[in-house]
Amino acid sequence: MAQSSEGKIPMMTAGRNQSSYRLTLAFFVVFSLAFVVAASAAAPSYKERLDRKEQREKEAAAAMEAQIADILPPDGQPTADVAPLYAQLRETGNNNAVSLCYAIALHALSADRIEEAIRVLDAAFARLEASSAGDESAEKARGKFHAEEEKSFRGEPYEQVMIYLLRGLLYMREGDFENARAVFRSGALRDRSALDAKEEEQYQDDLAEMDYLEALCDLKLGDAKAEDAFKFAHDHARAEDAILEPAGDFNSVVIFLSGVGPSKYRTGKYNQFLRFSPGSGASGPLRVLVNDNPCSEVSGPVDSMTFQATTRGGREIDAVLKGKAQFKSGASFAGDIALAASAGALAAASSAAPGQDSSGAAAASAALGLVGLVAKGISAAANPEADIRMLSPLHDDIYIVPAKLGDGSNRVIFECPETGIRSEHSLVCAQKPCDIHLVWDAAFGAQVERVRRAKFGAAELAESMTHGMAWQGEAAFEGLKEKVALALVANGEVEESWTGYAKLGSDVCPCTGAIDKKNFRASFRETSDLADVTRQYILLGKSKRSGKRLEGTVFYVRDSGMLPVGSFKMKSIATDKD
Amino acid sequence: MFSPPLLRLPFLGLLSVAVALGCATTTVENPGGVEPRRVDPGSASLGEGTGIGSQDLQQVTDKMSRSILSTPAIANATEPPTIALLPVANDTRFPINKQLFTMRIKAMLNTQCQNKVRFLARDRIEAIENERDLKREGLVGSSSDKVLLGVDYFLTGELTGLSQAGSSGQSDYILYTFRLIDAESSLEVWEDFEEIKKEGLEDVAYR
Repeated sequence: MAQSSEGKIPMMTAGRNQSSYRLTLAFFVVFSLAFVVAASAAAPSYKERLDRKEQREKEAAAAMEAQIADILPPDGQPTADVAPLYAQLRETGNNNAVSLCYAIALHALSADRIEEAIRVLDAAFARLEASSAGDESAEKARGKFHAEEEKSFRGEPYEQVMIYLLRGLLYMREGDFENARAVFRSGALRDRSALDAKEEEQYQDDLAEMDYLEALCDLKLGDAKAEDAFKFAHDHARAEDAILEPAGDFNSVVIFLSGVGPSKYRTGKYNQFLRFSPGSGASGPLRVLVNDNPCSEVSGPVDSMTFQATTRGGREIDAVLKGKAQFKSGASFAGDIALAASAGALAAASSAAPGQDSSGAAAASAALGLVGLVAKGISAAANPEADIRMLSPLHDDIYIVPAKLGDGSNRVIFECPETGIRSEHSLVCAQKPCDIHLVWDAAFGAQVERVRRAKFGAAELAESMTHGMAWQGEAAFEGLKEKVALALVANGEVEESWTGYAKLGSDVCPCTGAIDKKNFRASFRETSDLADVTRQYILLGKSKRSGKRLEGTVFYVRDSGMLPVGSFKMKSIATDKD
Repeated sequence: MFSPPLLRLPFLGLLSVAVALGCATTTVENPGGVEPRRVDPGSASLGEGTGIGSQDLQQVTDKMSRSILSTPAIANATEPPTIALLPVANDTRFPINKQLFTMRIKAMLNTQCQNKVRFLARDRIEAIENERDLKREGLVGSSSDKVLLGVDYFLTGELTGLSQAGSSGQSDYILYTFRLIDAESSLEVWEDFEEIKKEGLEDVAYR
């Protein structure tokens, strides 16, 4: 009896549980069907849905238009050159307003439509200065299922500074040096380091162009603070002699912009990291001739956008993106576990002995499978991608020359004394309180670099240096039997970050990097002179014996991220001669 | 073999996820925008940063106009003194229309205490001189000849700022000082100030 009752009791429990389960399932199915039927009955007709959709679209368009009402032309009739930009503005509203204002301002300035340039720059300025606390787009960008680029674009500090620079110059043009100074001061404050940046990486407030222009405004105002502002500019300029201290009677400010600025790309498993590729500015010496007479000569630019971008430091939003990436990874992992468990349950159901009830295992398998798919779906929907929108077009190097130009047309030549490359322009003095001449030669930096490369050979590595460090070694690439010669030259003072050249095989290209006692990083873009092909490489590795030996991994940068393609080993062949 | 309570768990989990996802609709405030409307000039502006706003303008000019009227040089004057405006100096990091401050102080004094002070339109002196010349030359009629009034006091001011920005936030302190200067002796017969400090922290999406 005891054996029999021991045998019956579990069977009775299982039977009761199964009927309870079937009841639950039946209730769930009936409830779902009832919900679907009720929802269908309550659903609006097709025409009603179309009308509602149209109404929503109208409201959305009106909302977009209201966001950018201060930017649109007062007469509603943009000129042909900027009409596509205004059309884009109407479509995207505030999301891209700052970069579109900048692009419109450049067009307006080149066509001498000063009022339009002022209007759009003021609009961009207002957006940059407005508080972002409580900004809905920023809140959305922090959300796990929204990309960072859903926030209204403001750009990185080195990009924002161009808005301030242009607006300040236009105030100078009108002789309003106080407001120009105010704008330059605000521009200088845009540059600030991230909270977790190391003390030695705190490059904040080193936008020398802002300090320099502020000093020029002080000079025009007869303000004694000019001396301090010049000192700040000297301290922050990329080349110390780039800051010229003119007499107060200068009537023009010539801004020479060289090269194309740095570009942004994403790396990381989920593209969650924002990185910068160096721009094409040569950061070389510059001689300025006005009507064939020497006006000024400097050993380097006031500032380099590549320097500003690569010393940006970490952003605090990076921590949010990292969290999103972890969430995405975690949800994917949970999905994998659920799907694996589902497969296990399915296997258990299919291996059940004949006559044994396997419906429970089969249902569990289906349910776990669904949970797994949902988790995978959530993972796929999570979006940790970094925002790589850019202010465009943007220069790399900036040279500022206050000058006293004669009435009418002046022939101004910008010449690199190192390579002989020239850029010639005709600048008309319009007798404004302070004439502003903005000259951008996008090819200048690349031309200087090309001549430099032609002069540059492996044997001259160490010889070419006046001040800096050089390493020579080789890189082993996957799939290549032979190793490729690799050399790096760091020009100038090697303090954490440096710029110089990389020589991979026979190709020489500009390079930026960073080094400390333990770690080493270098980034360079190999450009073929024969074909329009660019490859970007990043070297990441260890620095041993205080930088005398370097070894690590060679990464190839693609749109999808960093791909390890080989390894490198180098040793120091020259050290700082100072 | 799975027990039925355990079997319900995946269903419940699935149901919870579905409900959670279904309910997670994005709500946007004012999707259709906000119609332009009149607001109190003394209220904070939408999206106001740490800069100079209409609220600050009202606060500063209200205080200055009250203060000017209580200064002995004005309050005890037997004849209402004449005042002319000099440009306000802006030494902050905010580009502004600087004359807004002196214009509002003048308007407040003129509307609320008309007999205490008189303002001279020195900013329109060129037009006035042209008109006087036309009258003197007999090209236009004139009801009476008057002399151009001299200035008893100049009203001027200065906005000076101290700004800091870092990863922990943005802070802007602005000192507003205004003065009445005796046009004969250069004596500063009145000075008052107001100071406003604002702090804020950007959304992490922009830091």
